[in-house]
Amino acid sequence: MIKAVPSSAQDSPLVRGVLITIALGFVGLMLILPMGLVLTQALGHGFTIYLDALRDEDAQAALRLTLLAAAIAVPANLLFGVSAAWCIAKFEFKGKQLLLTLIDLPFAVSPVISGLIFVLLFGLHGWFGEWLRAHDLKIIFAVPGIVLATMFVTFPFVARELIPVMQAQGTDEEEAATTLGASGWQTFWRVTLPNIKWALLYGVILCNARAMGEFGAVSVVSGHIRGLTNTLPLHVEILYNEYQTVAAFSVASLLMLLAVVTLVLKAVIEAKAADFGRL
Amino acid sequence: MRASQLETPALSRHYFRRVAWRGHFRRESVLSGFGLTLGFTVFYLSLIVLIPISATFLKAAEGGLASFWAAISAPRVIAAYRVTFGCALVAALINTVFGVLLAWVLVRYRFPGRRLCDALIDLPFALPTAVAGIALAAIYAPKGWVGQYAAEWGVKIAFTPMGITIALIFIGIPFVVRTVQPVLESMDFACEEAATTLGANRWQSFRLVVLPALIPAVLTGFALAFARGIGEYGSVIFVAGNMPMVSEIVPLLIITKLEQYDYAGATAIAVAMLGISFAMLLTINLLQAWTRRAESQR
Amino acid sequence: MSIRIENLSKHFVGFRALNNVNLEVATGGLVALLGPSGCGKTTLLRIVAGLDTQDAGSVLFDDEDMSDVHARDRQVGFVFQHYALFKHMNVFDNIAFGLTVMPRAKRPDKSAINQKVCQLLELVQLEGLAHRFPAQLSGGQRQRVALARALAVEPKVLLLDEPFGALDARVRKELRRWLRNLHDQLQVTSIFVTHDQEEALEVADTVVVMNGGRIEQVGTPEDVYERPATPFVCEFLGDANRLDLAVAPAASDRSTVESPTASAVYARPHELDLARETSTLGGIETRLSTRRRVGSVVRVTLERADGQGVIDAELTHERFVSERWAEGDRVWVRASNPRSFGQQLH
Repeated sequence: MIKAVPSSAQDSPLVRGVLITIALGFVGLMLILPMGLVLTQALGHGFTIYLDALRDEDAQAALRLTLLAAAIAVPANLLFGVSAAWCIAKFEFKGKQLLLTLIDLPFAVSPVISGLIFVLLFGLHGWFGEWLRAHDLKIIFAVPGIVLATMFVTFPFVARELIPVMQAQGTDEEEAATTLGASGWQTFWRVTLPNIKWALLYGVILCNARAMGEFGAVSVVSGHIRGLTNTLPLHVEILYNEYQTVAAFSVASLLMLLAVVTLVLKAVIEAKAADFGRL
Repeated sequence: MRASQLETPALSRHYFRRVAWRGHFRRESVLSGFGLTLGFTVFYLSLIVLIPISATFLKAAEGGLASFWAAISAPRVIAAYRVTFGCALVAALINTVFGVLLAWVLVRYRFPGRRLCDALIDLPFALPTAVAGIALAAIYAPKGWVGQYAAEWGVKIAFTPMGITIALIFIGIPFVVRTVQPVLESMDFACEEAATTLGANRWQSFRLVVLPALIPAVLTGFALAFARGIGEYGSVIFVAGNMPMVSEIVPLLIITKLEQYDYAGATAIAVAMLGISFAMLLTINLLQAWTRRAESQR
Repeated sequence: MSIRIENLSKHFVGFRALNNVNLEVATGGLVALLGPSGCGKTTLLRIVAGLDTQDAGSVLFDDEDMSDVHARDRQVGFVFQHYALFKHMNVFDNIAFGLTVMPRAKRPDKSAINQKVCQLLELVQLEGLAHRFPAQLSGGQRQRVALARALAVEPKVLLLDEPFGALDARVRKELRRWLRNLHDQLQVTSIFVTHDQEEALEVADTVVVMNGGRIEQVGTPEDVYERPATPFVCEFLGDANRLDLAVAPAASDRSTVESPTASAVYARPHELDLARETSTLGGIETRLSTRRRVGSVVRVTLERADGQGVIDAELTHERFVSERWAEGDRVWVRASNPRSFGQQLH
C-alpha cells in the first residue's frame, strides 16, 4: 500500500503543509470535537454522577434491550450473509445481478422508512394489525418490532463484506477439496470458512455497530416505553429532550465507546487481513 | 501480466464455461449447497426486505392516485423536500471537496497522526447517529463551543438549515474518502511522471491526469453521500430545530404524520422517497460499474 | 486403471467444446492432451475428473461407467493449473487433507497419516518444508505439494491441468523430467493437459492432439511428429512450411502432384535441401532474403520466385558456412521428407 512517491509526483512542501493542515483541521473540527464534547459533558460533573447515570434502572433496561436486539439481528444476518455469499460467489445462475441489487436495498432506504414499513405491516392499521390484535400479539411498540427493524437496517452488512472476497477467491480450492473426497460440509468448514474468517469478522463488527446504534428505524417502531421498548440510542434522546444533559451524554459516551472499540477492531482486522492478503 | 493472462487456456476455458449454462437456470457445478443457500437467501430476503417494502407500495396504492398526489404535494411537504434535498446536496458537495482532499493527503503524504486520521474517517459509520446529533447540537448551539463564536457574528448555526447541513457533512465524510482512496492507492505514478516529462507542472498534471482518473470514484462517493443525506434522521433532528416550512426534513415529517395517525400521508411521502432512493441506488450501481471499468482499463 | 472415453460431447452455446470424442488410456499410461487454447482439452480433463458433466457419451474407469459417480467418489487425483493449495494450511495439512476427510471408518489413524505424509514429502523431495505455508513456497515447490496432496489418497487416476503452465522456463524443464521419473516409479494412469508441444513430446508416452473439440491424432510422440495425420497436427507440432503443389515430387510419387486437387504439402524447416542449381528432382525457385544465426543453427528466409510467399529453412551453421550461402543468393528448395495431405492420400 505504501509506495515511494517519485520526486516528479511530489508536491512542494508549501502545498503539502497547507493540505495537511486543512485535512487535520477538518478531521479535528468534524470528528474529534464531537467526541471530545461527549466526554467532557459526560464526565464534567464528576465520575460519581457519570456512574449514577449509567446505573439508572431505565438505562440498564435500555442496555439490555440493545444487547438483545443485536444478539438476534447479528447472528441472523450472519447466517444470511454466509448463505447469500455462498450461492452468489460460488455459482453462476440467472438473476444474480438482481439478487445483488436487492440485497443492497436496505442501505438505500431511509431509517425512518425502514421503521415505517413494519408499522404498515404489523401496526394497528397495518396489513396484519387486526389479526395480531385478535390473537393478542404485539409486534409494533414492542420488542419484536425493534428486532425486526434492526434486522432490516443491518441486513446487507455481512453479505456485502463476504461476496467480493469469496468471488475473488474463486472455486479452485473447493473443487480441489471435492476431488480429494471432502463432502460439502467438510469443504465449507475446512476450506471456505478459514479463507473468509477476517471478512466475516469485519462484517459482523460493522453489523453489530449499526445494530446497537440504530436510531431512526427503531424510533418509529419502539413507542418509547421506558424500561420496556427503549434502546440505548432512544434513551439518549429521551434524556436529552428532558434536559438531563449529563445523563444523556453519559449514556451517549457508552455508545461512543462502542464506536471506538469498533474502529479499533476494524483497524486490527484490516492489518491482519493485509498480512494474509484476504480482504 | 494482463495481456498474457488473456492467452492462457484457463481464461478461455472460463469464458466458455460461463456461456455454457445460458439457456439453463444455472451453470453446473460440482460444489454442493446451491439449492439450500439460494433458497434460504431468497426466503430471508423476501421476509425481511421484499415483502415489507411491497406492502408499503400496496398501502400507498390503496388511497388512489389523487390523494397520493395531494399528500406528496402539500406545501409543507414540498418545503421539507426542499430542505432535505438542498441540505443533502450542499453537504455532499462540501464532502466531495474535503473527501478528495483527505484521500489525497492520506494516500500521498506521510505525517504524524496519519494512521489515526485514517481510522477516524470511519467514525460516522460506527458512532450511533443519536450521539452525533446531540454532540453537534451542543457544539453549534448559541452557547456551544463553536456556536458562541458564530453568535458573536450574529450567525445562528444549530436549529437552522445550516445545522442540518453540518450534521449531514458529519455522516457523509466516509463515503467520498473511502471510494476515492483505493483508486488513488492503486494509481500508477507513471502517468504523472509522463506528464512531468512532457512539461506539465504539478497543478496541470493533477488537473489533467490524476483528476480525470478519479472522476468515476468521486461521483460515486458524492452519490453515496447524497443518498445517505436524504434519508438521514438521527443526527439531524437534534440540531435541526424542526420548524415546519423552514428546517423540517422529510423523515421527520413522516414521523410527525405517523404520530398524528395520518398513515396514508406518511405512506405516500415514504413511497415517494423510496422511489427516489431506488433511483439513487440504480445510479450508484451504474457509477460503481463505471468505476470498476475505469479501474480495469488501467 | 484404464480409462475409456466413449462418444463424449459437450455443447456450449454456439460452440462445441467436445465433439464426439473417443479415447482409450491403458493402465499405467502417461497421456498428454495437446492443443491450442479452447480446443476442449481442459474440458475433457474436467469431465474425466467429474468436475464438469458431459452432454452425451460416457467415461469409463476399468469398464465401469462413471457418469453418475460424484467427483468426490471417483478417486482421481487432480492437480490444478494454479495448484489450488489451501492457503491457510501448511504443507503437511495440505497433503493430509484427503486422508483426514475420509469417513471415520476408513480414515487412517494419526500416526498412519503422519507416516504417509512423510513418505510423500520424501517422494516429492520437500522433506524439510512440512510446516511452511503455501505463500512461503516457490512455484515449483507448490506444484510438488499439489501433486503430493493428490497422491495421498492413492488415486487410481492422476489428472494434471497445465502442470507446468505457471512456472518459469528453467523450473519447467526440471519438473518435466522429474514428473516422467515419478510416473515410471508409481505407474499410476495419468493424463495431463498442455498447450506446449515440447512438453507433450518429452514427457508423455502417448500424445493426443486436439483441435476444435475433436481429437486429431493419437499416437506416440514420434508418430505425431514424424507421421502427422492431419495438416493441423503437422502445423501444430513444430514449425512447418506449406509448400503445396509446387514441391518437387520424388520420382515415384510424381502422380500425386500432377492432378491439381486440394492437397496440402508440408515440410519442416530443417528437412529442406537447398541447392544452387535445379536438379532432375526439381524444386522451388527462391531467393535467400534474410539469415539469422540462432545458436548452432542458421535460420534463413527464402522468398519464392513465383511470389507465393516465403519459406523458412534451417540448416546447421557448419553447413551454412561450408556451402557459402549469402543473402541474395538464388536457391532451389526441395523437401527431403514432404508430408502430403489430400484426397489422394486418404
